Amino acid sequence: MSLIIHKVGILDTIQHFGMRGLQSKGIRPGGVMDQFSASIANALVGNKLNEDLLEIHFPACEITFNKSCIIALVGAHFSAKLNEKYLPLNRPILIPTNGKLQFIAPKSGRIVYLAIQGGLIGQGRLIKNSEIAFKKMPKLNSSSLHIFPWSADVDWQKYSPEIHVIQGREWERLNEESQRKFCCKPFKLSHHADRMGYRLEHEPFKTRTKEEIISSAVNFGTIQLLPNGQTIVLMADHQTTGGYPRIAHVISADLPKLAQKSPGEEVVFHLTDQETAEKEWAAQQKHIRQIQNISQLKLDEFFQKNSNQL
Amino acid sequence: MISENLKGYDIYPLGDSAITIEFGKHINPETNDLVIARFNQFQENPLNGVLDLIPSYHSLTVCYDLNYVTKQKMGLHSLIDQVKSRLDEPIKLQANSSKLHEIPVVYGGKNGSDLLRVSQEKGIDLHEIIRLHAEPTYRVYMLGFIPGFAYLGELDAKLTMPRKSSPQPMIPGSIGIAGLQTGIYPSFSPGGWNIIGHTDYPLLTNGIPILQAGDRVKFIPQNQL
Repeated sequence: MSLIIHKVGILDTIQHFGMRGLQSKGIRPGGVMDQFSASIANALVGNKLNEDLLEIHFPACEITFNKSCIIALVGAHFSAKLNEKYLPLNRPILIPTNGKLQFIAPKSGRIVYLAIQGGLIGQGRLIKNSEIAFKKMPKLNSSSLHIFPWSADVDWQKYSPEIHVIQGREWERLNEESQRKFCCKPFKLSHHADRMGYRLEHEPFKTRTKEEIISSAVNFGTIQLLPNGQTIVLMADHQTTGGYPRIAHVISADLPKLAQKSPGEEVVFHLTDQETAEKEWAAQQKHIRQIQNISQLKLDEFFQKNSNQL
Repeated sequence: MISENLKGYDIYPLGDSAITIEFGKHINPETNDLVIARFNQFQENPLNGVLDLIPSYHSLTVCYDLNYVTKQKMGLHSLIDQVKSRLDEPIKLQANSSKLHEIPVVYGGKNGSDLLRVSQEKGIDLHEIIRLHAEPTYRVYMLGFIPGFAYLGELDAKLTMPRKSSPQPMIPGSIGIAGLQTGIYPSFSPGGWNIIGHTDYPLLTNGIPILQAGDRVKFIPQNQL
């Protein structure tokens, strides 16, 4: 009893929330690209917030559920379809036994998370014709699709181009003109973008010095200045250390928004400080926990009412 | 920007979820001994809220849980205070690992495709480049970038090369140079170093790196050019 993967998308994975404690050996933490959407997806189905789930990019996988279960889709809008019916984002959905899920076309965003109540067993890339087992066997048996009548507020995803950054150790290497450009000019995301990093398109930045730096740690969100004056934002599968100047770092609260940007979309960087970054993060986490609490109550209520029908 | 430079170290933020403690400005064994000793100190007795430690040539990065930090009254300042009081504790430098790895290298050719360019740009002939690269016994200063990538130093200053302007695909065993550093790519990866040779020496077993910070490495040239 499991999910069956009929078709795989090239970047689709069962994703965790970061493997910690091994960076001293050069082993990256990895984990979900958009922690906000992934946490909300888990909250909607009543999971712990950091339960493993499917991270789906476009072109996306095709899945058959051979057991009825509750899922939620949060993040990118890929026109998800179950059998012949389009599925909404940001709601719990009861999938009928033998329901077939497809993603038809990318409408907005870049990554959608599929959380399954109880979680999944496995990790890494999805494999064609493989099965993924449920961690906890759902006790449901529904022959029809049911979309729950409540949804999560995901306003935090606001698809605005504003991304807040903190100055990096080598910020001062940019000359004044480049510093000004970095802070207010819109940059397009390049097509060179994957789970390791997103490159930006702009006129080359100019530096006060070309002196090499000694390699040291980098972070999810670190913006490195390449020797040709171009920049790359390191994403979830970033390396642990690097030797390119670190001109800035995207704040954690804005990483989900950045992760959801597609090639050609614009970003505008704004400088902020640690205090603001902490406040933004705390507010975002509070919002997620509120959704988690409300979802749990509503799910419990629903199951009490419908226990004899499911 | 938070910056402290009173006690022989400098603390700077690495984004909003990590801080880096820099113990010096240069690559040298003494500074790196201190990094390794402080890494062991933080590793053996972890601070609350700390998720990961990343030692490097001259710095130790402390990655923390933003959820923990935002619950502290003073936010990050609380954690920095704890880090500083740790750094006030005296530390004993541990004896270096004496493990020596002798690594055979085929210089130049298809898998050392930047050797010629390095030779031209530096105006040093190929034999001399190989001699200069293979002469020292290097120290493994740190692992980083990708699993098991060992940063070795110090490279002879005559071989100093800038990184490539844009990362290129690398194959396992590629030996590169950049700045005063040399290193070996243990797996397929993009990389910006100048590739001068290749080795078949095993660098990972079941994903766990063979080389450790503090080990020594000697390159043994396998070919005549």
